[in-house]
Amino acid sequence: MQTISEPIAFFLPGWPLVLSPPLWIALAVVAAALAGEWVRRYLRLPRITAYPVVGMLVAAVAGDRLVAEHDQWLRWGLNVALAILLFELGSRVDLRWLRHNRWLLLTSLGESLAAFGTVFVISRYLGIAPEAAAMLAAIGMATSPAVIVRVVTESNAQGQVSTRLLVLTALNTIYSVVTVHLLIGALHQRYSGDWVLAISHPLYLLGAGLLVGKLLAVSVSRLRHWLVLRDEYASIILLGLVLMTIGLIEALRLPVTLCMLFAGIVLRNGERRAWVFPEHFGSVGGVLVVLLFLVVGIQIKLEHLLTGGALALLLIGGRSLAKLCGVLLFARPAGISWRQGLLLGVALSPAAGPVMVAASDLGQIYPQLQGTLMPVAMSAAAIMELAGPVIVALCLKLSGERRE
Amino acid sequence: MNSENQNELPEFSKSDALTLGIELELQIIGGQDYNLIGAAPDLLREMANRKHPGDVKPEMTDSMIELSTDICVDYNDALRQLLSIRNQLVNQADRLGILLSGGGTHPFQHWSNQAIFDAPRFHLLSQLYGYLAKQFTIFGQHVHIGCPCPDRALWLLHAFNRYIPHLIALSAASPFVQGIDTGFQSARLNSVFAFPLSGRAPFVLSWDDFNAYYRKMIATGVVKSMKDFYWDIRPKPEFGTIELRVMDTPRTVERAAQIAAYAQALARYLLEERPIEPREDDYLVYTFNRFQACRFGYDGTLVVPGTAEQRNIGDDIIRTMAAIDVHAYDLGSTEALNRLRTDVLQSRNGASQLRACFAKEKSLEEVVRQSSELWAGRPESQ
Repeated sequence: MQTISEPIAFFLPGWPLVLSPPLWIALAVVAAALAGEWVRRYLRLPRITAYPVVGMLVAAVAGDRLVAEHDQWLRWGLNVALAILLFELGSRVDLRWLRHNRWLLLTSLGESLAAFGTVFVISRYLGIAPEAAAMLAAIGMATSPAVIVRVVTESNAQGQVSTRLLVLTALNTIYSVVTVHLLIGALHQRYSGDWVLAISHPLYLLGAGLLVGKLLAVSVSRLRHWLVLRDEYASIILLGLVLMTIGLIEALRLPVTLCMLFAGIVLRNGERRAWVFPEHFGSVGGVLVVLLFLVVGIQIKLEHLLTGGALALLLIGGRSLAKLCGVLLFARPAGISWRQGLLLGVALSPAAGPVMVAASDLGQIYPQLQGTLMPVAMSAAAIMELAGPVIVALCLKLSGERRE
Repeated sequence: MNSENQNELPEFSKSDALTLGIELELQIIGGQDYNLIGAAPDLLREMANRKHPGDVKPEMTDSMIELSTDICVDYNDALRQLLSIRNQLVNQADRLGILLSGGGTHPFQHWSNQAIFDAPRFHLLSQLYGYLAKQFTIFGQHVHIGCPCPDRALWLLHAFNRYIPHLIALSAASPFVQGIDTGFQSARLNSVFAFPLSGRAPFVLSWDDFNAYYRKMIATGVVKSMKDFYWDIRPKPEFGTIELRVMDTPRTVERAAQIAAYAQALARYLLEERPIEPREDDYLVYTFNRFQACRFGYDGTLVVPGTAEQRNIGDDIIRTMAAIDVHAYDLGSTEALNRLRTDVLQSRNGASQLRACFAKEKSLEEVVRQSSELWAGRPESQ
């Protein structure tokens, strides 16, 4: 500041101009959006494939202080984006379908358990401590809800592969979050030797999570009796409700993931009336979604991609293969062809960025874990953040369910 | 495509008089957004190797499927077969997380979203008719009535023209098209009109004359086979039947069977009592009557062919029912006729139910959801 020449007049700015970080972030958003359009037009891929890449490049150029300085409000924005996506995902889970088709439930359990087992074994092989390996395995169960919802919505895909993809993702995200929190409970016991704490913590998270979800679902459902929720203006009320819920969730120190998924599921299954997710609601969230994937990209550093290297690839490969096998095992009895099973299994491979964020929170709570959990896992996550959307998009394209 | 060409009209097969065959085109609906979904290949794959009467076949677009019965002797037989196929289909649809529904149109689908089913005939039709082929995402009920001799079949075909408005009014279940209330009770038939060879069959009463007409049409190159005629009633020589094609797919299989039973009793009445002798001039009022039935259903006006007498379509159905009651009794379909009569007296058909449902729920998605539950035999409030 001292080197800046004094302005000529009192109302003129100093030179060089002092640009605030939000301006840079806005610039990144514009760049990401443009790159998204480019990718869509020339590579025929969903827009979100471009966002993390742009984020990574921006971080490489500008350094990650961009995010660090505005952690607070960015985090809020990300939470809202994530919340809307998870709400939408939850509202696409038809529990009646799971009742009619038990094999689908078995598929879900199969692929999640296989992923858990495989990731655990590989992590142990890589020399990661049992607790950290279990945590990693729990995270590895989840397919990225954000990636799946965005790619499916954007390609307007409909059919057995895309619908099952949504349902399986919602379910494995629930398993994953629950397991992660049960593990936290276990770690509580391990680290502080307090049994009551260890048991009541996950119970609180699940019980209160369901309650908050139910609260949101009930208010939306009430609202819809006298409002056309597909109306653009009604979606503002919806957004407000979601914001309030997030506030409540944060005040209660609950996982956003779980609460919003529960809210969606309760809304869809609580009454029999047809529920269609309002499209304008999605477009409000659209801007935030760009931000979400952008920030995910910003957190990826080039060295992340390299340090984990072959080990990260082993982890990714093993996990993807496990999910694929889990799906294929039950494909025919569950009512899909081998080909659909193959595409569905592969499409489940994107790892869950948001759950990763939860994991980095864990790192803050338990610094002991940070050292062991991070390098390979972050590397694997980074690779999947970049590759995941492309993989899902290609699977949907091959399934013939894309209707753009 | 040569297999589709029929330069010669096939022999008219012998079939037992007044046997029935029913075909229903169904809507396949996605469980997520209640729009049509191209799940016919999935459904057909899961239905393969399952035992049921009749047949399940692909149709023009991926979001349609056609079920058909075997030859049925009477109403109860038809109903039993339809219920059995329906239950199998619904079981598979439940496994796939999709819905099935009756009704002549999907209330809010956009035809531009439809994919043409991957089979040569359908691609050829799509090339020929362009957007008309996709707009043909409409769902009808076809009823075959067995005739032992082709000349009798043609006579019956033309004798039936006077009663076409009855069949339309009884089955009408397509008031909504592409998200709007068309004001019609059967808007589906408006889509059929767009085809060049739709409408009525030429007035010939002997099979030889019909054969001559067919050869002339083939010679013009306009048609390649009987399938290219989209007439309201057409002879089906392979089966030895006449095929009534004006009905919307009703909202339940029960209603489909009742309508077939009405047509069967009507055919028996016409053939045995010969109350009318069909003439070319009967067709002077044909399209007027047909329009009235599509637009207003039971409340439409029907001009009795050969007279200037105007009647309310609903009244005319009730009067006809009185005339054919004894035949319905002999055929074992008294119950079917009684149910239809009640509905006519209460002005109830698929279209009025759909409108009532929309007025109550104010959401076409919810209308579609309730329709599919009704079709599955799990009605909630209606």
